[in-house]
Amino acid sequence: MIMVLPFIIALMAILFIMRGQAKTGLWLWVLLIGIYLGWCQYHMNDTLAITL
Amino acid sequence: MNQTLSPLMAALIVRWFNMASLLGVSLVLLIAFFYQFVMGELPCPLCLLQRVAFIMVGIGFLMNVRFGSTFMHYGLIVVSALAGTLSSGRQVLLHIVPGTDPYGSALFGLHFYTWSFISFMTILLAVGLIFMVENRVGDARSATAGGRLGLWAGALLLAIVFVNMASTFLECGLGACADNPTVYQLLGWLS
Repeated sequence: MIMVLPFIIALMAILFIMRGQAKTGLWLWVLLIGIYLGWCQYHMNDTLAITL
Repeated sequence: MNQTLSPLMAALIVRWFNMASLLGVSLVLLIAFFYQFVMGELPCPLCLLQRVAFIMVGIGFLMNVRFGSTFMHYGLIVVSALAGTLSSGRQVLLHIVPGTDPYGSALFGLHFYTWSFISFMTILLAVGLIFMVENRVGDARSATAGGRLGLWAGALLLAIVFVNMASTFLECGLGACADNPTVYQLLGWLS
């Protein structure tokens, strides 16, 4: 998992939004949350030491 | 409230709410920088994911500030804040068992992942409250955009994300980060 990737996508999203390109910024946010959830799955697969 | 709040006043309240929230998200990330660069505490993978979630929330507020508020933009904020509760809640559960070592420093008695969880829940609460004002904006929608000050707030977020990108690259290289990072991997390889 490339941890720097979500920051690169976020940077691009903000740049496009600042330039007035809302639609591109929005699609990059969609990509960003997809990557975020994938990275969460990768980093959250240990068993928790709690009883639920 | 609906009978006393004019559309223009409601739009200005929404505008300043979004501006303040965008700056608030930037402040959270700046505090994280302080502990990283001044106190020497490197962020763990879950800590970095929480930063990403704060940035995603910031993108939603930036869209409100840049283009005027819409329910689509608030949707981004709510989904991002919920995503943030996922990683921060997970980290709270990792350390909630008595005797489990916490990660990083505490601020006012709570660790940063706990503050993250509280912050994401507060964002959700704040968006719920601002919806009550949004209801009155009506024809004054264009006044919810932030103008020149909004651009400066966006530039601050942009700079913060750039520094995060650079420091994460130095810490993790082009791979996954260590669970308990103690050194910047890339600086170690270069020396």
